Amino acid sequence: MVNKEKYDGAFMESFSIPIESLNEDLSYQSIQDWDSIGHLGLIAELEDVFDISLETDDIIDFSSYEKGKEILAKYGVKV
Amino acid sequence: MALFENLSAHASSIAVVNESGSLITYDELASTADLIAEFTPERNLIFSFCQNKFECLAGYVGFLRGDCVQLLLQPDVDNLLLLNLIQTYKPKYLFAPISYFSKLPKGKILWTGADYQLLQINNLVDYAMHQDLALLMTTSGTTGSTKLVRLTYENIQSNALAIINYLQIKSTDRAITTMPMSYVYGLSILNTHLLAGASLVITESTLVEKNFWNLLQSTRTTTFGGVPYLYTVLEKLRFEQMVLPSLRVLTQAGGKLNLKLRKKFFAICQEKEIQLILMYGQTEATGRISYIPWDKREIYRGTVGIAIPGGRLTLEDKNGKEVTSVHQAGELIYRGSNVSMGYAENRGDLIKGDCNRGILRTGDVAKLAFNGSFSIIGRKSRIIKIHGARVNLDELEELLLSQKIECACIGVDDVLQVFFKKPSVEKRVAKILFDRARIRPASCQFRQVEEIPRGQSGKILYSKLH
Repeated sequence: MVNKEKYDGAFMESFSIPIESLNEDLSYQSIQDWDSIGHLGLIAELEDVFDISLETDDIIDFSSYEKGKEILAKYGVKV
Repeated sequence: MALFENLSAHASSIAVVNESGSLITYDELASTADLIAEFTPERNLIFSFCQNKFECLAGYVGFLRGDCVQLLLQPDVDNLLLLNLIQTYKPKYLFAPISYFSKLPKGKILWTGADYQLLQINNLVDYAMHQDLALLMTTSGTTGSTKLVRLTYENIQSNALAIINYLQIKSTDRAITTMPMSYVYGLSILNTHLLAGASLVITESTLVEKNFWNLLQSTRTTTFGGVPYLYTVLEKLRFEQMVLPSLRVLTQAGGKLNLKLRKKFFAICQEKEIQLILMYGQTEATGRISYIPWDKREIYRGTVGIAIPGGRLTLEDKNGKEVTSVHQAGELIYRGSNVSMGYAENRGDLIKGDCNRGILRTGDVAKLAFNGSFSIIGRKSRIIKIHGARVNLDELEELLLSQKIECACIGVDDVLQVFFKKPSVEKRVAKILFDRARIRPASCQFRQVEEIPRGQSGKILYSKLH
């Protein structure tokens, strides 16, 4: 599976949302599922599928679907 | 009697630091509070939709100073539940974020601030309310129940003063919000800091946002509190590596912190010279019932600690006799001036006086510990906590049954188990639980069974479910 699919899959799995919801408007608290509890679930899922461990600063900076791509790039994951 | 009448004693001290960093004095808080409450004559009922915004706090303070009664609601309260609550209790006013107004009944706008509006809705019938009644809190807030807890001015004041006393909250302290004020624990943090002349950092940001930590550092916050889940978040964020020199006290309530987190955070906090105070309480006691002093954390580990100043804890057996043996379990009974007047199930109940007379049957089953405290071993009623929020399992079953899904719910804190008969309803159950009760699938285990086991009377035999 390519990175983009894994990345999208983590969002869809964590928040039970369809692929159409994955766009630049998707950000922390823009949907009910993405609250602090959902956030940790998403981070855990991403760490799992990409086999990485995010730094604290990156966990709290991971504020949107788009921002997340920038952050993962730091870990050598190109989405 | 009203509350917060004495705010001007702290006149030019800082009461609130806003999200934007602006400073608001006690005098300014009092004048905004009174400006809002000027539109609501005394002894009227207001529904307040709570966000961690300055105007919301000002409204809360103003309505208390103005001797009105308010129900504090979470802003994402389920629509059906809200309409039900409005019909059941007939509030005259709604105080809500402007962004929320499309969900509310039409009415006359009386006051508009930057974020909040005060609305008068068309409930012209005035019912009398008991003179001591100050505040209404939801009992679960999630499962659709309209049952409320009736709190008095005296309840709020006495619990806040007891907490100030044992946490030694001083005017130099500063707390940052981590919970909505519709949740009694979050509310008690606001009450105590305002009554102590301390200050509050009010933010809608949460622990997983950079802004929260920036704000905490720039405002030199000294304390915050959280339910057990917050400590899971702190663990994930590697709290031990954070440099937060202003932080002096952390509190924890809203369910038992598991052994692993307790040990870990006791060690981290000791290292950082932060006191971590574990507390026990209920909405029915306006928040706090007991706590574990920092320097006695080893002696009281695994127990509810000691009763708050002015309160008393005992155990009672089925016949109401006090349990004094360490080998026998009983119901934990709390006595204190912070015990609510009782419940309300409809508008007519708001005239009722004190039904509890200072005695609260907590519903928690406990054993006497060797240190004289109590260890909770279960609950009498079928209530669990999910991420700190109370979930009544019977009410969940009713909620699902109302959607034509026959099921049985059991569980422990943070794990709900739902058993159902019909094949392929799992997705629907998950959706209903999230939409209506804010319980997410990750907190649930779903099991399809051939038959929900029932006794002759039709009652579900929970012991046969596993």
